[in-house]
Amino acid sequence: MEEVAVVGWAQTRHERSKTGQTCQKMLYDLVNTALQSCSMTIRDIDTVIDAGSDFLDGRGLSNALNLDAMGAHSKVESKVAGDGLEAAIYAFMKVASGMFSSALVVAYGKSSESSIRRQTRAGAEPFYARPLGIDAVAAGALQENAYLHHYGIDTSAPARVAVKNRAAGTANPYAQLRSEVTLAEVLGSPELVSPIRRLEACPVTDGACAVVLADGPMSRSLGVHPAWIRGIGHSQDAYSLGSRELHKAVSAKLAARRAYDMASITDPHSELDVIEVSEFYAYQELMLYEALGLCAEGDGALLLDAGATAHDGQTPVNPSGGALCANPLVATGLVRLAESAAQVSNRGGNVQIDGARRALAHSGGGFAMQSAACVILER
Amino acid sequence: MARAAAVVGTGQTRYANRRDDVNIPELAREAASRAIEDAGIDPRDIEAVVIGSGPEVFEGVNRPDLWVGSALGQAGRPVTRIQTGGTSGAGATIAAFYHVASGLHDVVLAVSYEKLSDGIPSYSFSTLSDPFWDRGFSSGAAPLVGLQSCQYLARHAPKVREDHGAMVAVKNRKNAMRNPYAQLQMEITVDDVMNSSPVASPIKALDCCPLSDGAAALVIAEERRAKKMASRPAWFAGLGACSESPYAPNIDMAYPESCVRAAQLAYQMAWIYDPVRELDVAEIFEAFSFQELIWTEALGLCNPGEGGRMVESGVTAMEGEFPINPSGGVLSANPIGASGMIRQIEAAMQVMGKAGAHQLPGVRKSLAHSWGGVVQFSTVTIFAGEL
Repeated sequence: MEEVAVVGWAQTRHERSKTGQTCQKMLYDLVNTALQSCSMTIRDIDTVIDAGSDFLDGRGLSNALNLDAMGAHSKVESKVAGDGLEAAIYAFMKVASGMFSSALVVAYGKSSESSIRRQTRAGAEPFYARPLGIDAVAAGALQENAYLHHYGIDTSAPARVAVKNRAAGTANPYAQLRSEVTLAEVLGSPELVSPIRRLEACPVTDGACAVVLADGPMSRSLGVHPAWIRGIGHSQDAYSLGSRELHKAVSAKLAARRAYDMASITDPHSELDVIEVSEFYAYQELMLYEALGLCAEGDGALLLDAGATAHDGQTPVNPSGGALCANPLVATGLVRLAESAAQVSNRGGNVQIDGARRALAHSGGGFAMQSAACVILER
Repeated sequence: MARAAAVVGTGQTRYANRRDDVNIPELAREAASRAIEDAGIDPRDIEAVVIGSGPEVFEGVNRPDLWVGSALGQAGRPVTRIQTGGTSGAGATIAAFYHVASGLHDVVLAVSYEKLSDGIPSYSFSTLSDPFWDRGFSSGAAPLVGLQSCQYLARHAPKVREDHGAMVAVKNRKNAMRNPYAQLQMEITVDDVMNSSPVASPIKALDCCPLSDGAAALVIAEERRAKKMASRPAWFAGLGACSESPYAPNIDMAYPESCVRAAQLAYQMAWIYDPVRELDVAEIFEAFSFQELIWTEALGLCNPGEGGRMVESGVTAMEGEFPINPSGGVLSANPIGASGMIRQIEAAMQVMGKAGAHQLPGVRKSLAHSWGGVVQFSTVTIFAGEL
């Protein structure tokens, strides 16, 4: 297997609504910035993998109209219909096979042009579940209840995740929400679907992310610090909520285990310097601490309250502010990869964790974290 | 260097206009179970799954991979979905190949499906067009390919004629009579096609593929496992893919660059210099009859303008020197998101010697092609019986 590294990346400034830009304009600028970040031109790119959502775009083939803007015209291109981090995993495979030297990964979502709750509701099983009106928030609420109840965790613990991540987001120039919130404000915000409160849920976001991957020789020739991909893992849990252990993030646990095995990591809490997760709702970050092996099952809130995952903790989680500060759907997981690459190559700017050498990026998908992907990067 | 990989098992459902007895995951599972059985393995041997299906609007389900994955008995496994319209199925196979070629996985399942009866395909097709510029006068696939066919006929008249398209329709529907999975099995004449009702000139009713429900699946394994699983695996010898700008004025639809380029990449990888002599059979994605002529030329199987002669002289017939679509092709069944994978399965089966009543003798190398989008995506896969 060839060595593969993340060498370049760019993300848009994430906003509630980018009405001033078509999707194509947004992507054209983004891809140029990503290529410039690693001194490449589009001619240096061997293959393009993109990620988009037909439902979000209101189009039958979400990538078709964006090909020129992404620089994919006349290239070997394909589209993964999932999170951008899954597209990055496919791109990794293509470069690792030795058949391509470089790959461009692009993920985008303009949620302002759609209705997120309808878009996620369309993912419910159409005959029995969809008529109930279940959507991503409602499924998340069921999971949060199951989790808090199973371990006897108090309902203010997720609110403390929101306080941490919103504070972190103030330092991130790309974040959509860049203001601190107090615990009282989070607890006092209205419930979307009980027990998920408005300030414990990700915002609706327009945004995109692009990442450039390269093989060993090319990565070393670019004059940048490559972020080497050392481990990848990917898992999809059962579809029916009733078939799952809802109080556990099973897919994230399996994905992380595969990535750790590949990267020879046995004690993630001490071996990882920083983690970026896709916590669409605050409670998910606590569950992910457990699934990623940072603490025992049910101890997520204890880990948070000990400060271990704060910016100055032993394993900072979401120094960028995470999905709670910006959720460009489809691109959210790829943003985690870009943030992780920035950390291990010491290009993290205001959100840099001192001396970060090894990072994990996570993406989630489906109702109540049905699917997950993890990528481990190393300086 | 990339690891060698081969197709070791295939599965298809019978293609039908409407499968009311199954939902989407059940349909996909039917094909997947057959592929796993054909490979002679346990479902637990599968390490990862790649799903290919067409636009979500076809069936109105968002992220259908999340629904299908666990129905395949693969909960907990990595599942990835490829969605590139008509090339989705072929794209899923290609993604599964890279799962193995990269060294990350040894045995991977690729599944594709489409259940067009769950939606309104022509309406869905119009959502492919730009919402501001084109959608108002977009009206589905037939007018688009009608335009493509006009361009092609205009360029090569009088060498290529309208009845050459009809000959393709006659040939492929006849071939389909030997394919137990085909939806349309018809003995028709050129006159029948020429006299069938107009759809989008020069396309007439019998020049069109049917609307289909159906699924297809294949199992891919790395070299050592492949040799154990199959007596004659179909090795991936060449792969090519290319995407083009979506704007019709930018595309030469009568000789699409994406197809020419995809073929070049596949031939380079497979060390093929003279495709029509070195390959033994091709399975081509002809959603409409004229497309078989256009793709035959773009794939370099004959010179531009010679497509009509290829079919008229019988070269591409089942018993000809270079058979094209012995399965009956897309004109005999088109579950869109699966059709590209079905071409690969048929091409692989010819190499494996498992094509049954439409098996050709002595096939050593075969080609599978697919197209998607507004004639803008192309894939080419070449299989070989010897590594």
